Amino acid sequence: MITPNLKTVNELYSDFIQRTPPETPLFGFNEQTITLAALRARVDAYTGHLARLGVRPGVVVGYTLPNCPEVIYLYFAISRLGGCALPLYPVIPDRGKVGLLQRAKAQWVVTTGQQYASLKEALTQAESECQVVTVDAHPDGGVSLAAALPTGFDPDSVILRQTPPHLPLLIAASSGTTGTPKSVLMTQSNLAAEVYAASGLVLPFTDDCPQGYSTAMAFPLSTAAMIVVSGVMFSGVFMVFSADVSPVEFIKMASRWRVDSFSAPPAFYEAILSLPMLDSFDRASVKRVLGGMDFFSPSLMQRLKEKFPNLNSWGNGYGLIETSDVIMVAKGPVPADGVVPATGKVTLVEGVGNQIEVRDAAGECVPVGGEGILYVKGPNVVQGYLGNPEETARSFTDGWFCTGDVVRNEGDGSVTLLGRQKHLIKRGGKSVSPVAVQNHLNKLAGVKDSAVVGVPHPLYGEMVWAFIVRQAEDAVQLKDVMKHCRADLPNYMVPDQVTFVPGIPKKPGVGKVDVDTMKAMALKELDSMAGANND
Amino acid sequence: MTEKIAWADFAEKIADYTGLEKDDIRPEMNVYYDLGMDSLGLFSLGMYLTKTYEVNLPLSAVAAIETLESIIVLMNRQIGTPA
Repeated sequence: MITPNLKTVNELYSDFIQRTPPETPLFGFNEQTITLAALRARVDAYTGHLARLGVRPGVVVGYTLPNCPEVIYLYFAISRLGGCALPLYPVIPDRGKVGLLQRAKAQWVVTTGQQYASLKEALTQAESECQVVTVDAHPDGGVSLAAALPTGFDPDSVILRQTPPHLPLLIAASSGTTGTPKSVLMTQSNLAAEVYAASGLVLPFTDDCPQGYSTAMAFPLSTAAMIVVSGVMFSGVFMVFSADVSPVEFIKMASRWRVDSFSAPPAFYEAILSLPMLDSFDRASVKRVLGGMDFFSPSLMQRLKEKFPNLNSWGNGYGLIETSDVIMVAKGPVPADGVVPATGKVTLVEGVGNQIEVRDAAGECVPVGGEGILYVKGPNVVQGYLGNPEETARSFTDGWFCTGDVVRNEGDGSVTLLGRQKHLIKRGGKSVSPVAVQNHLNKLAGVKDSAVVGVPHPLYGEMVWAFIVRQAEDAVQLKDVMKHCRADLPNYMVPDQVTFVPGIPKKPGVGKVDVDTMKAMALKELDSMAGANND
Repeated sequence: MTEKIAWADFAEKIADYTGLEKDDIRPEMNVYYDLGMDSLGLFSLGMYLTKTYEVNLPLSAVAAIETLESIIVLMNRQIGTPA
């Protein structure tokens, strides 16, 4: 168990390595099992190397690595020295990485020997003084974290004696769905709080497997997802991951390790289900699916149940980078018929110390059943945005962070997510929650997936535009959709336009719904109509 | 499109768009009161009909009318009109 009075990641790490037997398997990577002893040896070695490079409080170390255990070693080594990690998603172009390194004033960046040359060139072009270190052999004879340390090196001689809770530990950038990407600084205490919050997502499932369980992770490690990974690891859940986070590799790995859970964004589950070779894998071990970044639709859950017949439960996390990721969770059983109600209801993880409020436009708390904007305060909430005092002042007041998410107050620390404030559709004086319409569409038989966006019209405000993916072309027609919507939704929520598409456009990376692309598709159609029909 | 639109076919398209049964669609139906639409709904219906029939329909004219009959009359008037 994690002791809730530990306030920093370093205290959690020390506690974890003391109470866990050294031979305990922590995670599987490709075909290799990493035990606690192996992890400790590598974290110690990395700590030694980074200490020699001068990593200490105030020093930022970037890293851009494919999925590999080295990311985990590096994170804890940076933490123990009091440094600050800057994960750089490998798919970002080198110039983008250099920009982020410069903005964070990073002194070091860690990558692979293979990626070294192009990253070095981009840094040189930008006249950056950030130095490149590799996790394997260094092509230019520079520092390699794989090199042996002098014999007799004692890591305890270099690590922080006491870790201040407010010491910065990780810089994370939002994925940019709200406009310009914003970076936040997460502290040791933010990330310790996140360990407890993430355990609220994974621990309830240990009830039916007291010996612990395993989960295949589809979240890339060289991102802020690392903070959830540490929560999962400290909770005693055995993680399995592979270098390549493709759906094919994921399912091969899950089958090889006979994992009892999956952890992936809903879009990734869709990709798994579309694999033609899925039936050829042993899928009997999978009992639960965990998610994040988006909702599980009833259709997705039903189709997962068809392919994974022993699936019995699901869990989903809600959080933003400003709340150091997951703070609220949703979970439930998957019945034999796979029918799970569409819900965006999430509940604050207890015992972490976070609080929520639902406020109206005037800033007053709304009663249970009322709708408003979700505000969060507590140990998970970061101080503000890096180098952006205006945005910080707008979103953070007296420790309360305005999430910008529209929710219904369900009482008892629970809310139902209705969508992003900026994505609410303003139609004829009414606000329409795209998520509510989408949840309704997803209930219709034959609908595989859907997304709803507001499309501006110069005269009439915004139109409710639904994009629908059908299970088969003849599975559902416009008439069925309209009948279904008119039967249960108020008129202003009924989609004005329905476009059937082969797939919902998703952003690269974790697969967030690409609202902008859908709006652009709709506007193009609208423009072509206007062009053909101008008076 | 050059052929005039028949009421039966039009009613079927309206039924598709509104989710109502075809037999319940009548020419005198008011799009606001009977179909529960608002101006944006009517505009959207106009867009749908324009797409479906490939008729060069002035959407602003659609917005100014109120019954289904007026819409089909307007569309049939437009058929054969150069774009």
